[in-house]
Amino acid sequence: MSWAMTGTAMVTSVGRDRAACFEAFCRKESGVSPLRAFDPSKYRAKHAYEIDDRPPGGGDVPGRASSWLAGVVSAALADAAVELDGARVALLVGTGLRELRSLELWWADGEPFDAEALHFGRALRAVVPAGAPAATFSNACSASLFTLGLAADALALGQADVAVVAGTDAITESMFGLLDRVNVAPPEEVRPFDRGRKGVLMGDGAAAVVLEPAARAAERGRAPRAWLRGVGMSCDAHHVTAPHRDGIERAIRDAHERAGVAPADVDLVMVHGTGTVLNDETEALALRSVFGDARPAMTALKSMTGHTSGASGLVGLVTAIECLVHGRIPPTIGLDAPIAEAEALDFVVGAPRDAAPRVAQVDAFGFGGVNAVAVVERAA
Amino acid sequence: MSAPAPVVATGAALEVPGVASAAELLDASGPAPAAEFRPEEVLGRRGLRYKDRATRLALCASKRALLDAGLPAAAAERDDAESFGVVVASNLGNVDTVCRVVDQIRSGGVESTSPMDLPNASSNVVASSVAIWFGFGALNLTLCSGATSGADALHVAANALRAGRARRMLVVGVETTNEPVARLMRASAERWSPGARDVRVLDGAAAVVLERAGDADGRAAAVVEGYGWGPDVARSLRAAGAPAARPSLWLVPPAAYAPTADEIAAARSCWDGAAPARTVDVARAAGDAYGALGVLQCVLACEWLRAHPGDGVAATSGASWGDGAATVVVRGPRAGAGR
Repeated sequence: MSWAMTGTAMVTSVGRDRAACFEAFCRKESGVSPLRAFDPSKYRAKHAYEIDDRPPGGGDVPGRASSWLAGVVSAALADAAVELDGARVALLVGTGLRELRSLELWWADGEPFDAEALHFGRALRAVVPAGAPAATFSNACSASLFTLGLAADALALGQADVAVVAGTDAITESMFGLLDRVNVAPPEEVRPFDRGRKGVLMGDGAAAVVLEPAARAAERGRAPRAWLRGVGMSCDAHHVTAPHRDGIERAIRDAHERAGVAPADVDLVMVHGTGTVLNDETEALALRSVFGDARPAMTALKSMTGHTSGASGLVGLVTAIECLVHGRIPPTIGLDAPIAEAEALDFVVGAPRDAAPRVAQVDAFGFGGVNAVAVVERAA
Repeated sequence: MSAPAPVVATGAALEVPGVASAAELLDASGPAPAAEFRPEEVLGRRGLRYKDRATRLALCASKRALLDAGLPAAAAERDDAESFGVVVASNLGNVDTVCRVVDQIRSGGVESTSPMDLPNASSNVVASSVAIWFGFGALNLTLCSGATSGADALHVAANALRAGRARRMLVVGVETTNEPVARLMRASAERWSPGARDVRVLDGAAAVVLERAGDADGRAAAVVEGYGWGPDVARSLRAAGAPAARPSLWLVPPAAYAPTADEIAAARSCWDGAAPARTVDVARAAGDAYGALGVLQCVLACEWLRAHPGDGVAATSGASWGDGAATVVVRGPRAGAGR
């Protein structure tokens, strides 16, 4: 069963809205910059992919993840031109770090904060009708694709008329610092699948999708921007941070089975591609194992957005939809010499590729071995 | 629209230091005594070293619940790994790690942090640790939606079973208290309920094993009959179908908070004269279970149904800290269908 995605939105370090982001990706713009609000003297890594929206004069402000979330949800609803009054709405948010950044600013700098602000219910009350509870899933780097799958399940079970699914994440000092602590050498950029990669850097970002049953979209004369064919899920049950090939393969195959596609049907893969030694090797091997002789085009968006944690799944998915709509695939930047495991994979490099992908796969693999993979299809 | 496919609880257990059993919590009239937590007595000595307290509590409750369900606790003995999933409900679990790491970075830079804290900085560390410990390979979720998270987690897990994403689901609720949590809840009380005296947060975990009714083969302790969310207690009761279920027990959210007590009082008219014979506020004994409450209530409900087979229980959580309310209705299995 396919679900109509009638509205989408995103914001990242390279663009304030979906169109600006996609144009920037196709222009190979990187969102990396020197740290904007963290004290660089405390860290080895000096760069991140931050959204530049703090007031001038330095310092940081709480509530940014919440404000981006409200923004993308509003934008996706407007894009879908959907009437929510009287509808049963499922509202799910996937995040890796929720509002832990605001908790840090309260604890260390005395900014106002309370327990309710840790999750996104309050932030969303302003943009969705009363009576639509918001569920906040804190599910590491695959959170927003998990919520997409759960939303599709809720629609399939007849529990909601419309689903609004979103992801949002703002970089925290604690996560940035601990990732910095375990890197062998501090990276200056994210270079997925390149032999010279040094590891991951974090990014800010948010994205949202409106999901409806096909009949409902047709009834109100709204053509979907794309179709959601299915979301596969698995847990490695292996290690608290390192990925596991078997778990990743299970999630990919589960996605294909639910989508009713064979590997040869997939034209484009938006890889998870964090630029870490472990992820890239493991993901490359899993992709080769699943796809065999089939060679879908692949691209690693984190080379331009950094790792936007739980938001990254939906950022990848909204971008994949733009690829389907515009017939253009942004390249992976910084990929000069692919690792051996990735040599046989068809990465788009150098320039954006004009193509006509019909089916795209989006990968998201999170700390703790939480894996979610989505399959989407071009609308007409 | 047809009723959702029935889901049952086949195992239920808690790990609350100072509380020996769910029965004790149902009958308690005051706070449980402080007690030392010794996870090694339940889990063995190995593998706990870098795990935070919330994870240790969750692992203990999970093991007890698996054994209560008649299922293997050892990952190596598991033949259902790929079809067994996890949902954890917890709001405050890694607050202490995040605050401690920020302090370390601010005072001494990243060199003064420990790499062993990296997994604990991710809010899903409890769920992933449970999956690794017991070998659960199906979907793995962490809900941090505030005071209704526990009830929401039961609903999400039931949906996962109905959607064919798993055949068994472990649902765990856990909260713990420490200096940053205590300060956070004091700051929160100032905003939400200024009359609230020192907020006492649960230090404990509860776990429930859910399966589809057809798979339970005589192990069902309770049928999960309904779930409903509402902006307040009354609307959540109606959304869950609680009044029509005519439960004999109503588990309520922390009534020591004035706004919560007001909502509970306002909801009494929902029962249409068939008010439950017994109402229990587990916070009196265990403290505010916050995100874990819905799961803790489910464990208590299973205990109640042991003594009152065939009865119904309504479990309402939320209505605190600015959040809405959620009600779960559970019923004892039909005669001969359960244990």
